[in-house]
Amino acid sequence: MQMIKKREKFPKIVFLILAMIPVCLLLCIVILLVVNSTLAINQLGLFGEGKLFSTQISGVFTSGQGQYGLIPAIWGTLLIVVVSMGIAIPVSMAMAIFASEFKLGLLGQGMRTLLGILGGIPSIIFGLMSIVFAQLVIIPKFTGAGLSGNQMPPPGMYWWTPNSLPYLTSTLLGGFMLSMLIIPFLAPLLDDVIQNVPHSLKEASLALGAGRWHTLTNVTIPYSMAGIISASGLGTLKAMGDVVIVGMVVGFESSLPYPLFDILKSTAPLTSTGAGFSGGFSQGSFNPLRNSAANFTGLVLLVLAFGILGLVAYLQGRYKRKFPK
Amino acid sequence: MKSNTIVNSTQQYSGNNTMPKYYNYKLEKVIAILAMVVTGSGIVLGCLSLSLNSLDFYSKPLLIIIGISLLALFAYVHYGRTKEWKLLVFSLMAIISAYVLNMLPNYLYGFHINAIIHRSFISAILLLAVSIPSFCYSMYYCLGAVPRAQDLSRYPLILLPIVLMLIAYGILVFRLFALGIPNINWHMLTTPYEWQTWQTIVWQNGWPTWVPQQLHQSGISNFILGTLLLMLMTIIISLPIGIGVGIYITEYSSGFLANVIKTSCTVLRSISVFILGLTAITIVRYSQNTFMSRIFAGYFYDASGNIHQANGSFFTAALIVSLLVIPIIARATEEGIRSSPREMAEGSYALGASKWHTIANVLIPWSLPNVTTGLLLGCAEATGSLATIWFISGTGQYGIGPFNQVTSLSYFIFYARGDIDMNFHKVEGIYQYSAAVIMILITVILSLAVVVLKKRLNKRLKGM
Repeated sequence: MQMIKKREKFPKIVFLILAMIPVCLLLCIVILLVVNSTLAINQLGLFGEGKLFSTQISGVFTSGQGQYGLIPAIWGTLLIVVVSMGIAIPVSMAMAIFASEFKLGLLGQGMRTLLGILGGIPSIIFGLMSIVFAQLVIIPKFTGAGLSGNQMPPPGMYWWTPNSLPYLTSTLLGGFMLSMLIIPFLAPLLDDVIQNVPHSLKEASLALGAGRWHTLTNVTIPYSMAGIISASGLGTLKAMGDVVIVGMVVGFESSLPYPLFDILKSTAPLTSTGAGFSGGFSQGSFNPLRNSAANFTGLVLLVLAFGILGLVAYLQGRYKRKFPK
Repeated sequence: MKSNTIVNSTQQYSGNNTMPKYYNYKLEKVIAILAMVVTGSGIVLGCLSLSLNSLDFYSKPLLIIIGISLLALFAYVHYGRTKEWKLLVFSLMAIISAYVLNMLPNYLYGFHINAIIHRSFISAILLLAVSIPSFCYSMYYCLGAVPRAQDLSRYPLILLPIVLMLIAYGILVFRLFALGIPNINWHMLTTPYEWQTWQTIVWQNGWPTWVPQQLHQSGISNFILGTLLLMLMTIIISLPIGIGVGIYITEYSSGFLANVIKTSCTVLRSISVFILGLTAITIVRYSQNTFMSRIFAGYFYDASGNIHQANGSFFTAALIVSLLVIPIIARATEEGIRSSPREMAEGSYALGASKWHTIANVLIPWSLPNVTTGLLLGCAEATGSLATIWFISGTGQYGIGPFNQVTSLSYFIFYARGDIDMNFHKVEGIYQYSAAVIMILITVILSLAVVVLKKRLNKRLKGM
């Protein structure tokens, strides 16, 4: 009997060890972030002129002044999240409604498969192909192309590269490319949420004489609001956390735009600013202070992410109380 | 009093009927179809003039035509049938926006806005803002203004953003293929990228002289191999851990611990990849110049045969990427086990099988389709992830192995763009789109395999 109990216990311990690995690694990541950012906090200070929470920031490739202000980067994160989610939420909502509410049979199924395939496209491809949309929209509309004597885009919108191709950078384009990344991720989540609305509710509304559209706006969407909010929260986190698109389209340097809501200027968000701070091993020598500032950027990002997760949980609770199951 | 009110209400119902005797429904339909055609062309012109400057010439007359046709529809419907003020509002909006466009100069700048805006951008926005809602209204009257028409007339609001976004995806993919496919050739697929310079001693006239040597090959085979190796190592690390997490959560857990594990998986999935990249830097930095440097930092032999310390090995990269993949596999396993019928597990227990035996022989086979799906999605993640390995990767020209310098196609695509290394760009720049095409093919094949494999495994293991 004891042998059997021992044999029962062994897999349990193995599975416990395996299951605790992600928890431990997460703790390790957070601890490493805090430990590594202490150098920047000690050496630079938190609040004040030229410190970590200020608007002074020196260029990435001209480092040495030691100014690592993060306020422009936080503002850039806010701008790019607003632009990208402002495009992504309505479009993916429309896709979800198209796939699940309109009974179109094969078309809805095809839409789901298409979204699954588009979801596999890595983010670097959107960053690489941003030049297409720059050529389609940004150059003809916003740079004064065709204006005699002014062939160059205005300062702050382009990035000169060695093969003399101007890569246009603006928060607007970055937000659009990010929304192209987020839509295949967000639309299936919203699709699931809308499909989970009980049929009896919709049928009751239809039986009382309400039209399809009325049922959609007054029954389906309010009932699934909690799920929509949590899905949008996940999408926001994805938009905040992306580095590659933002680094390729918006750039690594950020200064506070004037006027503040100028999305035609490039304001790098926290992720790419931190990547510029760090530089890693690929950009010449390793600088401990810069790496530490990058770790502090990561810490700020982590705190913001936890804040958004908490906000989503709070809002979900409110909507669940409104529509108890 | 009571009877009085009733009489009043009936009077309102029957007496105040403004419907004239000779209301021509067909004429209403004709006017509505005309308005639909005009506003539909307004939508098309608005979308096109988001990119074409020269269409600005047509937007003003079209806005005036839209205004006139909406005014006609308003006049016929308003005085014949129902009080519909919104049509008048939209027609006035169209005419006013035509007037505004007439006043604007060709290029707008100033107000500290960091651009020189062409007028056609504003005309596109005005056209879309006027013609989308008025298209819906004219569609409503075209369909006879019945309640069903109200549902149908909202379809364009849902269809238009979908169509526009799919066109954007189509442009992106078509342009990528047009740029990338012509440069794909066998030579590039089989040759590794190499760019090494070193010096050798040559004896000339009895004296040793240093002669610079150069080895240069252009190709991307090492990047492709690196991507495949990274995928393989990520699977090897993350598969047992992910399945273990899923099984522990569903079968062994007591409430609190399961919640902790689930929450940590959610957080791992939702924190920025940039943080994981920083962690990779930290791991490599702490292990460099210690006894672990061979494992975490990696090593390589240069052309002269000397050993060097690299900046990050495939093993470190796979560890970091598997942090992204573990939550996917854990969630898939959990879903698979939760979907299994309880009777099967209980039947196994009733026959005297132990818990481990039940898990290994009943639950894991049942959840295998879900696990496979999660695994392939994780592979796609590993293929595309640049941010996690961004800071520690190199060109991989000194060989591909578990403890060599990590490299990947995404690294190649980013650096071939020529932002930092000039030499790298001039030679390899033509291959960046080809590499992107190969990467997209790998991910598309993986996501198609998800669909096919899930169906087959479901049929085989579950009989459905």
